[in-house]
Amino acid sequence: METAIRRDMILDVEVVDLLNHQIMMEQKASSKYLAMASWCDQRELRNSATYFYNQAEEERTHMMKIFKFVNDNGGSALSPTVAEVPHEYESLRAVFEASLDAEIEVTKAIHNVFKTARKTSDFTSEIFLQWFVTEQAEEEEKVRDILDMIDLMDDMPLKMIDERIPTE
Amino acid sequence: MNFLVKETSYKISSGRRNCYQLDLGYKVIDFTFCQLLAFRKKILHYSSYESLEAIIEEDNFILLWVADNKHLLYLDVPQILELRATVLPIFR
Repeated sequence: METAIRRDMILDVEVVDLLNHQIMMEQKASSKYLAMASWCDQRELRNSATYFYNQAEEERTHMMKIFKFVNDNGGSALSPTVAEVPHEYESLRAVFEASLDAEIEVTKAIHNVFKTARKTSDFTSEIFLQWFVTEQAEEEEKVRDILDMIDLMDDMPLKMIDERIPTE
Repeated sequence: MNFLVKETSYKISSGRRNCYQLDLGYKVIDFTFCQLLAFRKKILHYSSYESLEAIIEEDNFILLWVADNKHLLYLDVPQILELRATVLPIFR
């Protein structure tokens, strides 16, 4: 039976389960960023809103990348359902703090799939996930840089801080 | 002390690629690979501790559509656990 399953799928089934969980995590991150973008947009924080709209798109792209990978390699990708995401924040700083927490959550989940892929000798998934490991390190660093900038400009008007938020 | 060891009465076989048969004793269900993956997912879900607790507290059975809604299974808790024991090992 092992041979029969192997002839239908190159991936390890346990890794497929975790990749489906990762699909949900990426979609959840995308939804969180959309809520953050909305919060910023309503307060006329244009650059921050653009930043989070872009992040929401990026997380969705990540989700689709994993989704396609699972289906293209014989697995069964599941369309994710996302529970309620927060829509209220105390400050712009709180929004970026929540953004960092969201990235750390996604990173931990990616590391968990990566470890399982390595443990089960699923090299196809392991190599596929390497890009995500690097990407998550960059994503976390990007948010930390913004939080450092917010700390440095703490006494400045909110609009001036917003003008320094990267939009690309 | 005496033990009674009962092996699962359900059987899964595969004759060719992308073609699996689940023999439940009273009927045989044909699965493609993706249908088998979906079936595994459902069995994993319903055999979790939380789901079993909910099943026992409610009707004590579930109705499960399988193989792209071609078959409807009436399963009680022992049958769910037996299916879990049948389906999961084939992926190892």
